[in-house]
Amino acid sequence: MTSYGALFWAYNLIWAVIAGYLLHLILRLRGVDRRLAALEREADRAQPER
Amino acid sequence: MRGAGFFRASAAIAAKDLRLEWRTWDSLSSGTVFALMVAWILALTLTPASGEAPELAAARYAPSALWTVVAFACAVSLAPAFRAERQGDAFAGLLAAPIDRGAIYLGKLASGLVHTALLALLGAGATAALFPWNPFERPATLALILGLHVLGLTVLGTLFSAIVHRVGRGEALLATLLFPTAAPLLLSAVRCTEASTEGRLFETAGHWLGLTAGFDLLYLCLGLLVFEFVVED
Amino acid sequence: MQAYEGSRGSSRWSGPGTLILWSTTTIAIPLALYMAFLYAPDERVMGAAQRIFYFHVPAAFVTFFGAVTIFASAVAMLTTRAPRWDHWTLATTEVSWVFCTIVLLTGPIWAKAAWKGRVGDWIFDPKLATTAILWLLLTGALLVRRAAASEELGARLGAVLGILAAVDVPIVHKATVWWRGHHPVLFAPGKRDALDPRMRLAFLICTIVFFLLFGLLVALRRQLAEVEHRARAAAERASNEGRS
Repeated sequence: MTSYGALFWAYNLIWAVIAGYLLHLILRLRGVDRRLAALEREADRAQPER
Repeated sequence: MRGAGFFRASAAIAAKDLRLEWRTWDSLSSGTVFALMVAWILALTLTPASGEAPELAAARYAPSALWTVVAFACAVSLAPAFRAERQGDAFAGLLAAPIDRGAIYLGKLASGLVHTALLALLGAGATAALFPWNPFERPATLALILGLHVLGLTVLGTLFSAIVHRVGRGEALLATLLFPTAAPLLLSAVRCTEASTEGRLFETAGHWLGLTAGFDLLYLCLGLLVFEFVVED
Repeated sequence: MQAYEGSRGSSRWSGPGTLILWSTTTIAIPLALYMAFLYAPDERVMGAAQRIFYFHVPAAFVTFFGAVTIFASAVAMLTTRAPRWDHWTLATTEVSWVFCTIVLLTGPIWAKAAWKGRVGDWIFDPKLATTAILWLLLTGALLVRRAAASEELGARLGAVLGILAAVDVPIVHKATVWWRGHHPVLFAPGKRDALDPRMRLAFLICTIVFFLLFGLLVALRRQLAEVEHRARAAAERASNEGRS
């Protein structure tokens, strides 16, 4: 790891990609959750009117 | 086509496609032009440097050149396989008929095979003309190699063509899907062609032939099985 | 059509299975890092450069295991037509794609560093060719899903392509091995003969960690797919009710 500069970046690349993907999934999950909650609230409001 | 048998239905579909092709020359013309152009470019760029024995260069390059030409020609000619159905909702009409979805696949495969087989022969002729090489010396083994490998390319190409047309994407996506999947076929084709020019097809490349035969059978069965999932509404 | 039957409200990283995965992975990653970088001794020939083997190879294992999971869930999806199986297929396809990308990116970096520029030796190595082809097929499957007009069509086509890709992998590997006519050496010489037990342990730990990571990412992605599916259905329902 000391003499191979490219290798150092390769190690970091692996974790960076995995962490990045994990973060991406979590953010998307949060976003869709919020949307779903909003839709459910809307449906709740619509229901009593029937 | 009430109560048509499986194979009769396939034959009907193949016949319809071939008749259409006879009238429009749609897929064969683009395939031919492409094949000749690729062959010409390869011959041009693979010209051996002065001093290098031309026979050596031919033995090394010609089989690869042949299969590059055939691979691209197949992709180009199979890409429009389902184009006619996509227009005017002919697909829905075809699916409404009381025939097995697999029969549609087989019919398309059969007509596609006529096109690709012709293009493969054309490719062999083109490389024979452009490279110091004569694949037609052993016509039986040439037919075997061309037939076996082009069958595999067509089996895969027809299936991928259906997928690509369902998605409405450019037909370029077909090549992106076809070539990686067909890589074993292309490798086998080149090795078999090389062995055949040395006259030792079965001793040197017998395992490749076996692999390809298995590959063709496997993907034919898979194609028949999954085709309905691709075309159903 | 009930868009969201069952538990309403938050569907965030719920489920005991996911929690277990989170906790074990969080513990296991530092352990794996320690094992790979500090515990395992330097390899004889390549020295410290060889350590990437503890990450690159497990990533490759996970990728090919992923192909098997894609096949299984794709077959389940096509036979049962349950959206649930499509979520699994999509999750396994996407996560396998991520790990496949990692393998493809790190492999050449390692090879270039280790072999110091004899590119011709490893560029068409069977494992590299197989991984590259798998990557192309997975990319194709994901692109087709995205391009499909409806979610259901995308699910079916994605499943079909997943099956074709998974089936192709062993064939491609065989073909590329035969093509070369010999077995090219990819691993450092120290691996074949008497692998140091410390190295073996480090490798085992790292492999386990990568499988845990795979499981965690698939679980999350599947959950995301399911929640998005429910949100889409709820939105459709809302727009239908708005019209009526």
